[in-house]
Amino acid sequence: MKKISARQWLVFTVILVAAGILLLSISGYLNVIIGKAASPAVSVESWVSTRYQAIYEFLTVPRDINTLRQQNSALQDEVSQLQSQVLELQQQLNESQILYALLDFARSKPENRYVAASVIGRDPSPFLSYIIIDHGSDNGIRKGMPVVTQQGLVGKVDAVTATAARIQLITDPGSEVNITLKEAKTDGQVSGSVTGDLSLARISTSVDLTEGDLAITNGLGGTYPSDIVVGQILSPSKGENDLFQKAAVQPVVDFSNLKAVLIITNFTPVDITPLVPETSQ
Amino acid sequence: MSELLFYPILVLLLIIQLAIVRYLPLFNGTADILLLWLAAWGLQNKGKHVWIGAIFAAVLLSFASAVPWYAYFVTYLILALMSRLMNRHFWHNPLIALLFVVFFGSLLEYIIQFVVLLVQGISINFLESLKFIIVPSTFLNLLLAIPVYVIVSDMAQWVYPKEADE
Repeated sequence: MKKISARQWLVFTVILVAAGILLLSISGYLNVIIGKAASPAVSVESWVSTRYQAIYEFLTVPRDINTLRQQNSALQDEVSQLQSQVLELQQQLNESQILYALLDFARSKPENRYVAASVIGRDPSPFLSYIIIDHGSDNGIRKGMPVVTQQGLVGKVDAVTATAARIQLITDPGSEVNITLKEAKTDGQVSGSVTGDLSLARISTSVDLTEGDLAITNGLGGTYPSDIVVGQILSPSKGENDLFQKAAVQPVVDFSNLKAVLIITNFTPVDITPLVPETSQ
Repeated sequence: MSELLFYPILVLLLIIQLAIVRYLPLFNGTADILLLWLAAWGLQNKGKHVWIGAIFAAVLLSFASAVPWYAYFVTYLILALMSRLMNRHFWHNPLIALLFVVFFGSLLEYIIQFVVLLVQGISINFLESLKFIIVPSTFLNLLLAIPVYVIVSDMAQWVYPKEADE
């Protein structure tokens, strides 16, 4: 019988150990053994790793602050850009809301043709109430054309250049608008003043004026088309010996916050000045 | 030659006047920054060409305003004359000269406008105008006079070279 060599014994032992380990591993006993054997190594590794991380963070923190500062300033830039975008969008929203309101008004009166314009300035003299708009004769605007908003009457075109026009507001001291009072069913005249207030004149004392009565244009004089709202009557007063009553008129248009207007381009004003008899002073 | 810079600045001031200053009222009065600029310019030692500036400003305002053109011409030319006279007599005390010119220049401007509009047949109440326009506007002009003067003086140092001063 052939004698088994030491080398063969070694190979056999290795195969046996490997098979044993395989069997232990399959049966799950090896994990417990490995776990117990590796535990001190894991603890040491964890301890080393924690210290290393601490040292690494300590050495790299200043660089991180710089990075954070850069990121912070980039974000601040972004925030300010977004804020300016928000403001711009809000402004566009306001403008479009105004334009939609004007469009609604224009649709409600399809017999008129309108040109919309933005208000770009005011007359330099504080005595006068005129505004300047960004549309002129190139857009079909002519002197005398009436100007309105969705709320009511604004005034009339006073002067025109190719790209801009000056509008005399109804609050101007030189402005006079012939009106009809809706409830009282009588005609009168609304005049402006240097303070921007409107006042009602030429209403007979026999007429009963009521506060809140609506003043609308009556088309007399040929300056404005009829049925445009001017304002509401406030505090009517009647003197015993007066020929006419007086009242303040609250305009329906907010003249201090006028951003856009509509010019009625198919209305031709009539100049009746030659027909008005001269009165002796 | 660099004095020509004052003219585009007057155009810029007119735009600011129409688009911003007129929307910042005190009662119904507003400041007139063109008047302030001309007054400050005329009070500079080398501001002898303020006449041309006054005419230029009057032309600009005549286009923009519904006030008759001659009102601005008269106002600004008298203002230029006042500022040059004050510069000659009170050159050592420009602050008093400035306040004097701005105060009387403002009163003159608004009274001329009042009279011109009255002549045109526009019925304006004088007391109402005095209370709500003339006094507040003059006050605003006096309030803004010193800042405008400082800007014009700084600019004048650059516009008029130092050799020319001596």
